[in-house]
Amino acid sequence: MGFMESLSISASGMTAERLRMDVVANNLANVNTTRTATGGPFRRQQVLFSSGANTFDDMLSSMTGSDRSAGTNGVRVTGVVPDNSPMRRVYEPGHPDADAKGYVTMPNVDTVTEMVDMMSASRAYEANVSAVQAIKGMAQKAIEIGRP
Amino acid sequence: MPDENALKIYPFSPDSNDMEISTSDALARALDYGSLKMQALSNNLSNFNTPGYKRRDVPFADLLNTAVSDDDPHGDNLEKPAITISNPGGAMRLDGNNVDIDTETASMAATEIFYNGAAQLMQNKFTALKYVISGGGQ
Repeated sequence: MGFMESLSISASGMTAERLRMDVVANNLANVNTTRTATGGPFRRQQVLFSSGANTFDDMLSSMTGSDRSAGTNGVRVTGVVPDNSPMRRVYEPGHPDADAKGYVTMPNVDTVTEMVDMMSASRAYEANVSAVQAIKGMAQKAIEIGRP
Repeated sequence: MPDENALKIYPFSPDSNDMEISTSDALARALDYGSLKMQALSNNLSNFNTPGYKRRDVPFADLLNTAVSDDDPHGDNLEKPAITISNPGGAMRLDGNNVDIDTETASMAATEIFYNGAAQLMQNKFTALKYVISGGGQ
């Protein structure tokens, strides 16, 4: 318990949201990439978050109603995973990567989805920043106790 | 009546006749509550985008009701305040997350004001004490 723990919780949120922003930027940058190192077009990536929550202790305490000591471990990035939704098919016969029928397989990146993701990450980041500022203000106030 | 073995916030039990100790002790508990609540709220905000996450809180109303109904104004027999999962069933979003960013931010602002107020009272307490020690500012 303490302000340092609260600060590190908020810091974990900021780190997670910034990573999400990085992944969104990468998706947007590769919206038309048809060639990757692994071959084939670029596949959209997404970030998986998990909290320290939903551990056995948390579930037990919420089920038994004795809900004591719910964990506050901030947020953790479980991984960056590929989006397995189907790729876009664009008719472009002159493209060097077009197939026999003239269709090019484009990345499954939807710019609107990415924009929404970006705004969501941005707002969540701001919320964490305001939390850090509030915690800092409280810690400052605590230091002032006993100051002449 | 609460369990006698319930966790006390502080190992020492303030003498209820001694108002000096009791006031600063009560304020110290208020400060502890504020920082614990802040921890729960910052955890909620950091998990704003975590699917299935349920918000945490430190229930104040429950603690207050317990203290009032047990005729315990100083909260000597209160259990230690703890971070709990509040309303595990409710979720407004499809991903099962029930963090509402407006509520969290408002609650955070309220907690900050509460904490600053308690800290100010504590500061006033020490200022008064110092004034008396120095012989009324002479």
